[in-house]
Amino acid sequence: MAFERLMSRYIHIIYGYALARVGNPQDAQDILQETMLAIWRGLGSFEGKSSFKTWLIGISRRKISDHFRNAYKTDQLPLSDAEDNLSADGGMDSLSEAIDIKNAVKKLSENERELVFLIFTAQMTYAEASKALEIPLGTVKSRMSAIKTKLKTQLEKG
Amino acid sequence: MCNCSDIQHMLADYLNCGLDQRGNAQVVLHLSACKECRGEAAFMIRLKNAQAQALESIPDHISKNAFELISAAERQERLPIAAACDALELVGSVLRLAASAVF
Repeated sequence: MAFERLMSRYIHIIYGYALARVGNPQDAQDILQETMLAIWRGLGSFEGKSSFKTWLIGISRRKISDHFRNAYKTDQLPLSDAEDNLSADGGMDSLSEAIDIKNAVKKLSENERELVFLIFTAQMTYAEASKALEIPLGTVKSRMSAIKTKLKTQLEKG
Repeated sequence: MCNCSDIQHMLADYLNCGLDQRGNAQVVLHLSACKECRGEAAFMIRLKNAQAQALESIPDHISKNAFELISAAERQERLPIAAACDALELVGSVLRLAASAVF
């Protein structure tokens, strides 16, 4: 199917984003499915005002917010240590460095981790992240500067 | 002329292929002459590699089940969407081809 083919390029980003936010593979899978349905239903209304990736992330964010709202209603509080569920294996040359970075990222605030995901994992530009997060471009820049400083400090500490 | 702060704010977009030709040239020119910004770029590449690494292992069953909620009936109703998907895919392919030819 054309839709599956189109989405195959983004599925890992959407799932990874959901997993990074909710911290539970089963919940992330549910969010992925709901996001795919919402994308399918909304594809006809995509106007190209933002990049396709920004639009997808926007839909994912809304589905993640719905998840948190529902979890709150049913007292199933979300896990925040999402990166614990992100696998660090898979043949990287410097596994220990990847783990160090993962641990350093884990110490960031939730907002900061979300921005790190969008920029470094989803490979969005600052402008795309600004639109997806609905914050000014200047805030993305200043937040990223602060994040890099924090990460460097953490990595230097070892 | 961009200073180090400007360039460091452009590095993520540069690494994510989000700059235009002029922006790319500014970054490359600056990096060729600035050790500090080269260090910053190296740091960002490490971050990007580590973050990308974390995404590679998505269980197969999750990818396969991702479209489960879209019912067969709904697919039939929205058949024209296939044409939109093809068009988006084509535009993406053309843009990637153009980018590879330019850079």
